[in-house]
Amino acid sequence: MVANHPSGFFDLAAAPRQPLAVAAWPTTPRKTRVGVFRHRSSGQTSSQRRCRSIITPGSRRCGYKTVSGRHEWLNRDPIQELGGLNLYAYVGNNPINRIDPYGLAWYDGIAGLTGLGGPGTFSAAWSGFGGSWSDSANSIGQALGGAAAGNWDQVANAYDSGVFGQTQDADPFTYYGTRAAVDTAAAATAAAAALEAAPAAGAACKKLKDNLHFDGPKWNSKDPTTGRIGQIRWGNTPLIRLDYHRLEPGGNPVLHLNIGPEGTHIPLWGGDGPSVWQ
Amino acid sequence: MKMNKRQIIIDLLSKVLAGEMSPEVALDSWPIAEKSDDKSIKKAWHTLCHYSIDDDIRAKDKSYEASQRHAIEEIIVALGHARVTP
Repeated sequence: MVANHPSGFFDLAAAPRQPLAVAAWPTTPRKTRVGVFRHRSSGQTSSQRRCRSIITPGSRRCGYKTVSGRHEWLNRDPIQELGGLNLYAYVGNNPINRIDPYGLAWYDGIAGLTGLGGPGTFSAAWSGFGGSWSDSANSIGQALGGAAAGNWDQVANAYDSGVFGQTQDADPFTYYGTRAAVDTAAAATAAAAALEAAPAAGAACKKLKDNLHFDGPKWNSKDPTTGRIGQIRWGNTPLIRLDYHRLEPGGNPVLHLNIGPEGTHIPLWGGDGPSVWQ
Repeated sequence: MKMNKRQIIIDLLSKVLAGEMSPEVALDSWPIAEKSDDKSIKKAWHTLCHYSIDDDIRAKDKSYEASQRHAIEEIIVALGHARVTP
């Protein structure tokens, strides 16, 4: 075959094709087959666009190698067709010097992989998330960020939306297994949060125990007909108090409530005749 | 006349705080109530009533004792300044 790729290889996917607008290539259903990766550039399956060696500039790493020698991706491309129609956009139109080993961002060739490219290389690699990548990349990023932050609901939502490319029909075992792992992580996170909150609850209970007091009945030693029936206070501040004593000098004892620290009186029973102070 | 009544009450409360007089005796020695008595005098009476009853709490809770003594001291200051407490 005649090489049609800048790297010197024959690239089936790069073969002449009609624009997507006329729907010349949708022969493969958009629902991918089990274990088949659909390249993000044009919806092609890996059988249509084969992977090459990882060390070849411009190549993309494949998930596994088939018995027939083909390389296949394990899952559908996470960003699907959002990568655009340009077959070389995944390496910024520079497949000679750049590679995209993980299908997420490009690196500046061997230098990028070995870290010899310097800080600029790293920046250049992540610049691959720009443009049409952004939506799906953001979805994945949100999911990963959710995992990092322990927000497993966010991860579960991303999982349900299929952002990772998994499908229930294609691989139920993996689907439910992964989902169970996500749910387990969510439960563990919730349990950890509950345990973390427990000391706070304990501290609140201790504060309540230390400050909330109930003072029982106590009658006046010199005047047993008067006294305190009960008092609830926070620290030294009376909250509510029920008393039976004279509300004015020379008056008769009155059963009354004292509300608040200022002791607002609410007479309930007792007294005899008009009061001087009322 | 009213200042004399205030002064009597101040003396009674001061003796109670100094331990020179029991709260019960101070209540028995309280001037006769008048319609013209203001809120500070009424509050002084009521505070002393509670003080006389709460000796059991003060015996076991020194901070409560301090708060009750502080309340009486504030009343003494208010009466001395002829100020009406809230």
